[in-house]
Amino acid sequence: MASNGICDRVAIVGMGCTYFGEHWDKSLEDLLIEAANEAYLSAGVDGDRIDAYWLGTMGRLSGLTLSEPLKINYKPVSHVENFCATGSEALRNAAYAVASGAYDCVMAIGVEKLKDSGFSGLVVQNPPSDGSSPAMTAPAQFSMLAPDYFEKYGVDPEVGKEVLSRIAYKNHCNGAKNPKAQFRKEVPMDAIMCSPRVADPLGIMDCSGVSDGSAAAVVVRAEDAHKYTDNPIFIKALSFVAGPAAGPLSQDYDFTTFPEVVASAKDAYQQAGLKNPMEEISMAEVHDCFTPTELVLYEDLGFAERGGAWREVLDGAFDLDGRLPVNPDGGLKSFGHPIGASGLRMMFEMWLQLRGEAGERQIKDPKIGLTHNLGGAPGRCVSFVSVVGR
Amino acid sequence: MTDKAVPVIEGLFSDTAEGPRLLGSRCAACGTPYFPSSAVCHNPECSDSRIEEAFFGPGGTLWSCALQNYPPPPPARYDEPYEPYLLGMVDMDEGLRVMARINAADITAVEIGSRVELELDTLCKGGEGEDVITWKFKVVQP
Repeated sequence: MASNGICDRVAIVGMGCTYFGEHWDKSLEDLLIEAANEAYLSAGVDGDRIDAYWLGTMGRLSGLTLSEPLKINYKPVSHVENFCATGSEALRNAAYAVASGAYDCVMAIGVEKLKDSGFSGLVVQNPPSDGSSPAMTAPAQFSMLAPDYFEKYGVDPEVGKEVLSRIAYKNHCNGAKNPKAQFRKEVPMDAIMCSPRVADPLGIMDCSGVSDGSAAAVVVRAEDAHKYTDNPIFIKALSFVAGPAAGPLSQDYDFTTFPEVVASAKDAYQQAGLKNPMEEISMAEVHDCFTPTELVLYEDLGFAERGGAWREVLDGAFDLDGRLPVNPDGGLKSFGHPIGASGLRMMFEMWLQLRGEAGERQIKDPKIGLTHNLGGAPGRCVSFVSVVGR
Repeated sequence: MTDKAVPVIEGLFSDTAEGPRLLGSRCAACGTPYFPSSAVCHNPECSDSRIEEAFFGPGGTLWSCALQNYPPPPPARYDEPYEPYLLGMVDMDEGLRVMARINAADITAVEIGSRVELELDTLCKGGEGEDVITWKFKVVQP
C-alpha cells in the first residue's frame, strides 16, 4: 500500500473557531458565518479569494448548508462526513485538493448544532441491521475499554478509576485556561471520582461535552503561505483509515487497543518522516470522547509503552507541563464535542500553540504537533492522525 | 375568525395598531432584512453585524406563484376536505422576499406583478377547534 503523503507541501494560513457550548440564540448558519469570518480575517482574505470549500457536518446532504449562509458565488462546495472524525476529513480533502494544484486557496470548515437536536453525539444503529443489534450508548461502548485494560495490565480497578479521573482532571485544568472551551472550570479529583455513573465504570465526568460550535481553516500551497501570514503552519502528514469493523465479530478482538489508530499513526509517522514520535512530538490533541479512550490512545499513538500509560497518567506525563502535553486546549472533555467541528478545533489548538498564541496554556517552543480524531466505537471505527509543524 | 385563535408559530407576526406585520430583524449596519429573525448578519459584504428587531409590511409585489393542487405531506397543515391553495413568492416593499399563501377572489387567475398586502388569516382548525392563524397576502391590485 502506498501512502505518499504531502509532507510540507500544504500550509494552514488562517483559522477560526467559535466558542463551543450552548448557542441557543444562534443557528447552524450563524455558527458557520462566525467561524468562516474569523478564519478569513486570520488569513487576511475575503470569500472571493477562496476557490473551493469542504464542509464537515452530520447528515446535511449537500454543500448548500455552507454556500447558502456564506453566500458563496458558484464555487465548488463539498459536504463530507466520516463519523466523529468529520472535521478532519474536511481538512484532509481540502489539503489534498490544494496539493494537487487544482486550487490555490481553499477552506475546510466543520460545524454541529447538537444542543437543540436533543441528541448527544451521533445516533445511528449499527449493523447487523436485522434487528439483533443491542441498544448500546456511546458511553457504554467506550466504557468496555476500561475493564479489559485493567485486567490485561493488572491494574486494580480502584486505581484504574483514579487513572481515568486523572485524565478528566487534566483536561478540565487545561480547559479552565481556554476562553473558547465549553467547561472553563477546574474540577477536583474527588468530584470526578464520585460523579454519577452513566456506564460503569464511567461517570458523567468521564464523558465529553455535548456542544454547538464551528471551526474553520484556510489552506494554501506551502510556497504561497508567507503571502498570507508570517507564521503559517505546515501539514506534514494526514492519515485516514477505516477498519474492517472486526470488533463485533472476532473473538480475538482486544479492547485495549484501536487497530485503526495504530494503522493511521504508523502511516502518519511514515508520511511525516518521524522516527521516534514519542520524542519528536511536542504536543497532541487526541480524541478523548471518554477517559478510557484517551488512556488507550496514548499507547496506540506511541506516546507510552504498552501497559505503561496508566502509570504515566498518574505521574503527570501528559499534563500541560508534562513530557508530552495532551489536549492542552481541554480536549473533547472540556472544550466540548460538536461532531463536525471537533477535528478542526484540534487543529485550531495546533495553530495557536505553534504560533505562540495560546496564552496561559502556551507550551514552551513546540515544534511538532499531532491531532488524532476517532469516529465510531471500539472494534468498528475510523481513525485520523495528522502531524503538523512550523 | 372565532374568538379562539392561536398563531401557527409564536413570534413571527403580530396584529399591530397599524395593521398586520411580520416580525423579523434588520442589520443596522448594512440594512439587510431578515425574516424570521437572524442572530447575526449573513451579508458577506457586511463586516459589522448589528442586528435589531424589525417589523415588515404590509405592501408587496407578487414575484411568482404556484397552485398547490394536491395535499402536501406533513408537516403541512390543512382542513379536510383539502382545498387547493395558491402559494406565492412576494417581494415586500422593505426589500424582503417572503413565501406565503396568496388570497384572491379567483386563485386560478392571479397575475405576476400584482400588488399584494399582508393579512393574518386562518390556516386550518387546531386540535381543539380553535383557528390556527398564519400570515398570507391578499391581491389588492391585479
